[in-house]
Amino acid sequence: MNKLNLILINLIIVFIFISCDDNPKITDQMLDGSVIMDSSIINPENYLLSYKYPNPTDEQLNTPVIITVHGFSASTFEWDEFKDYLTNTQSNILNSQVLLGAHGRSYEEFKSGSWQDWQATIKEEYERLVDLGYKNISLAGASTACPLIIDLFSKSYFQNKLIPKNIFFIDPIILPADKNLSLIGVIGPLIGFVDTEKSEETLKYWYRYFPYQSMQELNTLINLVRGQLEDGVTLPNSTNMIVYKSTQDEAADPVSAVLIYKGIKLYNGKKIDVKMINSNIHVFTTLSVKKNLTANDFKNQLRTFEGMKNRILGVD
Amino acid sequence: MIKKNALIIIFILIYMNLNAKEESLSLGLRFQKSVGLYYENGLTFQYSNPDYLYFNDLEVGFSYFSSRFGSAISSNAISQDNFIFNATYSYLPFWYFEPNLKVNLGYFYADYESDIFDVLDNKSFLFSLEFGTFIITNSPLRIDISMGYNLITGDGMSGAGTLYPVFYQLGITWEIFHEVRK
Repeated sequence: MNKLNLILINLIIVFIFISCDDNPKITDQMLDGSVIMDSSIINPENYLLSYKYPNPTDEQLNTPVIITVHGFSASTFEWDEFKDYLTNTQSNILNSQVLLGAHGRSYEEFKSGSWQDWQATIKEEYERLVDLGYKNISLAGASTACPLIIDLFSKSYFQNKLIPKNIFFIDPIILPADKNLSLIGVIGPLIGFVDTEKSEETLKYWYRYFPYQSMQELNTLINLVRGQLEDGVTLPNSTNMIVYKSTQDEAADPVSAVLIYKGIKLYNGKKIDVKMINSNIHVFTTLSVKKNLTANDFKNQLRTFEGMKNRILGVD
Repeated sequence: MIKKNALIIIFILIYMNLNAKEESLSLGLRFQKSVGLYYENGLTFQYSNPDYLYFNDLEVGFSYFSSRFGSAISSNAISQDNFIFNATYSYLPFWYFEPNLKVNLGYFYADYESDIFDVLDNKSFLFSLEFGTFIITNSPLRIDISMGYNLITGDGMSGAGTLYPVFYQLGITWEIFHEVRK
């Protein structure tokens, strides 16, 4: 037996030990199951501004609106604390929480959804609000919502529409922290899905199991948007952008902020704003079900919410 | 991780071939693509001399390659530089191929351009393994293709975020001299 054959045998043995798991063990307590779903599906009027006020008054149409969009595998819950902040501070801002397509429903729906499906609900709510006559709309995205929004700008989606006033990104993902995502096309069919082993409190709000098909969609999206950023994206006139990024992030590599900073310019050619946040939490503005929090974590959240509010109100 | 790396190195040593006795110096170009990230291109030189190197078919070399000469040309890709020293063991040639294994050690630097990002790691040691083959051309031209795996990458919590695990490369070199020992 020659040496090359011995190498091949070694490689085959390694592959035999990579086992394919069965279907994920989904229970009724999980968002992945068919019992629990995102509240915005049952009561859209509590989340989507277009459903809440189908016939808005002139005063409402002139009030600033913020559309908030959650990230991969999450749900509208990710922006609940910002909504509560706006309510508690009696801000004169209207809030609309969008649920991404294929999210907040079931593992099977998550598995079959493309990234374009995820993005579609952002466009739908934006268009409904523009059609209703709202005049001052901003967008805020967490994690995967950010490349979805960048893709809209790159494709001139807002051309001949109302132009968004402010864009806020919280922990955007352009490069994943786990670089093995780049290999998902090869290893995905072998592993089937990834079990993220979440705590019990979070199971209602985030999918626990990530089908490899969804991770492939995520990989496709971030590669596409990385290319768009390399080519350069210019924001429309009067749109401002700020990126808030944790310095340590186990989901979205912090260097994602560098790529956005280099890749996106304001209409006048100036740089966008970036704030690096001393935090090790992915989406550091969602704290309510996270553990081992420090005073600094709450300070980061409050400062960011204040900064966002002031920009929306035009007092920053 | 150390145990795993040691096993890989032992694997290399078990299968290395010790047959040839040649002195040569090659200079040329290295073209590298990380799976999921950048093209990084640059220069490489490789040297072998059985009088000074312990193993007869060991070759050592140095390469510098950068996204400055790849993805970052006329784009907003991050400019990043790789400096690697490599040791290459070649197997018995068959047909037009001479399979080889490389161990690379080196240094990585990424230019984030703004002091906003001074809080992020932009430097790293490099440690990678490559498996590939030389393509025998019966001329001073030597073509080297391989797949590699970076054992040090960024993980979001530390390390350079643009260091990706899997890459493939093409080396095109010209043998400046080649002396077969009797």
